[in-house]
Amino acid sequence: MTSLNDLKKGQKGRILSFENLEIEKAFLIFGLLPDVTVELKRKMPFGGSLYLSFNQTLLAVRRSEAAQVSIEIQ
Amino acid sequence: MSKNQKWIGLVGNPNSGKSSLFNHLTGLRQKVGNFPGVTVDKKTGTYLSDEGETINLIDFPGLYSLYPNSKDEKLVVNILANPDDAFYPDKIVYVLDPLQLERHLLLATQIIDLGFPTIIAINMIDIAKENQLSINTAYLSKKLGAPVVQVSARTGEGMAALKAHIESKDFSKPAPLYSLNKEHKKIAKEVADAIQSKQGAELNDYNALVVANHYDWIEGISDNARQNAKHIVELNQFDKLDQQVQETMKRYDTFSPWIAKAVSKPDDSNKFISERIDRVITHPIAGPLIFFGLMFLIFQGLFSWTGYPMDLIDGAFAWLGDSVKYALGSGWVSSLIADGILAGIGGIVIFIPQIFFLFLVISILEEIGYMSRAVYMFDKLLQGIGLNGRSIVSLISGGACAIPAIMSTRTMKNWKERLNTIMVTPLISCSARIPVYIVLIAFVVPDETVGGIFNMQGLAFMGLYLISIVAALVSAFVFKLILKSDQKSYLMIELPQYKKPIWKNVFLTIKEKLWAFIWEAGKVIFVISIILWFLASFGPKNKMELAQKEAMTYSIEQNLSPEETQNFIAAKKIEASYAGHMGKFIEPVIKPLGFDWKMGIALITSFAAREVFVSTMATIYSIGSEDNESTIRDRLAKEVNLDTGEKVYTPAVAMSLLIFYLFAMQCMSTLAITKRETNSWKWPIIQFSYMTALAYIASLVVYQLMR
Repeated sequence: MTSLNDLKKGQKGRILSFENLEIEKAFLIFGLLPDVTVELKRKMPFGGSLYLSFNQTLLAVRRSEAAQVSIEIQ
Repeated sequence: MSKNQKWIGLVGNPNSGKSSLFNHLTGLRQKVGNFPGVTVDKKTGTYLSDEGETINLIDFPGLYSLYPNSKDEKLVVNILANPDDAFYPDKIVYVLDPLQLERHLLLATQIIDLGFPTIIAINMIDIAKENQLSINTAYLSKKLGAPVVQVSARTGEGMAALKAHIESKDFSKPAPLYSLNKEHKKIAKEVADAIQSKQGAELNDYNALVVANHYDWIEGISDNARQNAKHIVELNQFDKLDQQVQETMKRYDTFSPWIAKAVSKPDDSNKFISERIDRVITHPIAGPLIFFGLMFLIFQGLFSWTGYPMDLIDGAFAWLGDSVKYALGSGWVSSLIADGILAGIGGIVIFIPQIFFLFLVISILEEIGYMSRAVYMFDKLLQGIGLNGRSIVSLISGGACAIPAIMSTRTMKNWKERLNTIMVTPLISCSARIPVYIVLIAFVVPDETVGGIFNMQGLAFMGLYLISIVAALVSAFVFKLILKSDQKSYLMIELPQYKKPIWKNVFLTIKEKLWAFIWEAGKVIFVISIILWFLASFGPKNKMELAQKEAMTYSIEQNLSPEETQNFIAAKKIEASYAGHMGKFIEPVIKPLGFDWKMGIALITSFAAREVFVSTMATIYSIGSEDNESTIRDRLAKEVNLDTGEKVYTPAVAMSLLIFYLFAMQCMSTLAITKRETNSWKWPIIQFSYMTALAYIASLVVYQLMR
């Protein structure tokens, strides 16, 4: 499975599904729904957080959180 | 407060500009209190309608949905899901950001389904226009079944229309938008039956479903009802997480097509600018460097730019004290007012410029959206020591005052991380320590400039802050090893698009925090000043008179000058007073740290609040000397040991005192907040013990090495 965590800086991906309901609920609140296209803007070094951009939203997430979201790289 | 007055509730997502709208509507007519039993700020305010009617508004903390995890958000749900609550709104103004219209509609539809008469206020319409966004409000209004108005808290646009809706006597409930499936409907009906509203009105289906989701923590239901709800939920094998996700998806499915029809696609200019700024501000290397540079500038500024207003206040209080003495003569009343109360209050008022500056900077950083960038950058580092990225907000705010800083942990969902943040935040040097630092730093570091710009004392000041930060981080790591929790930890934080600060927001925030600080600290200081004045002015039996006589005899024998005689007598008298006895009593314990009994008195009084140190010194020394105009620092510099004739405030003593105040837990208010936030006596006791032990050991080491 390709996850949100596999995106490289500047790459975009389309959300397919979530690994579990808990993470799904957490992402849905921010409008990160299936089919939404996400861009990885940058990441902090040493396993630090990811800076995501989608629609009009900028969102910071942990890599462990991103790893639970399955995507299709575009 | 009673239900016979109507409440208009302001509800919205974080970063929707809800508070700006509240500030615009109410201006200075706001009050910050606590909701009963919890420490969440309850912001209420009023405005007068054109018809002369008082409109009561309540600004709820921001939340994303009715299925929250954090304490702040749960409080809102507690009120909105309970029609019997004293603050249950009669009407809700739902505030949303037009650029985030879709996801902000999620909660809007939930609010409508709870059955509230709702007004949808699309805020920041000025920014929407800049981004070429146009909204068909009539269409949205028809679909939502609620009035939709476009406003801007920044420019005041659309306010008249919003007010007209707020003031309207129309309290009709909108039709529900979300229909529960059969299974959930059954559960909702059963839960609604189990929870009999005191007013007899049955909860609507959606409201009952929300209660079914939160039966384990929701307030306002009886124990019996809670048991029944639990029973119903278990019997029906209700999977709440599944329901929540289903509901959320269904809601998006409902309103997404509306938005596609009613809203033109905005250009990305605003977001583009934010991303451009973040390319530098959150750069992996430049970002943290900018952060530390910023902090460095703030603390340099704090020390060197606030001198002038401080001198003014200092002068004003000295003048006031003299005037009182001149007007009232030399009786005990005049002494109580001038040496006790005025000296004490003056000791705190003088630090307002610094506290103002600190709150100003922090609220600007918050207002423009910088804080969440710091959260993003430092999450990993803080995670490593058992904290969360969000802790950075508490740690920075802790530089102003631990109380709001501890309260800000309520956005954290993981209990272990939250508790850890609460435990270590009071180590960060707060503004109450500034007075102590300023008085004492001069005894350790000369007032010189290095490299043309940097003030040596300013650098030392910065150094003290650094020590406190390191201490907080190390302590957090130790707590990480001790505290156990298997609760999941999340970061997931919105990085709001940058915006220019609305100065009204900034100044209302400062006013609120500054006032709370002055009032809270002022109360304590007022009482302590009076007690101290008494303790320092009177002594057991005739000991004071005896001391005075002995001192006079000694002065004559030694042929002292009149001034020396006066100081000598005053010093001997305070030694014989109640305060002197108390100081002497603890002297054996603090002697290894280099402290004498006078400092002992200050230590005792400082356990209520550390800034009392300065006012205690002011009280003790202005009683000990007639020379009221010299500042405390000058007075301390003159202080000599009566037996040896050496200066009391040597660098070693001053450094030891500094270190003690840096680490010690000397703030009753913080302990009280820790008690309320952790809901136990255990954590404030641990907090007090570990910080005080740290202070004692560190001071001991410093003094023994330096002397």
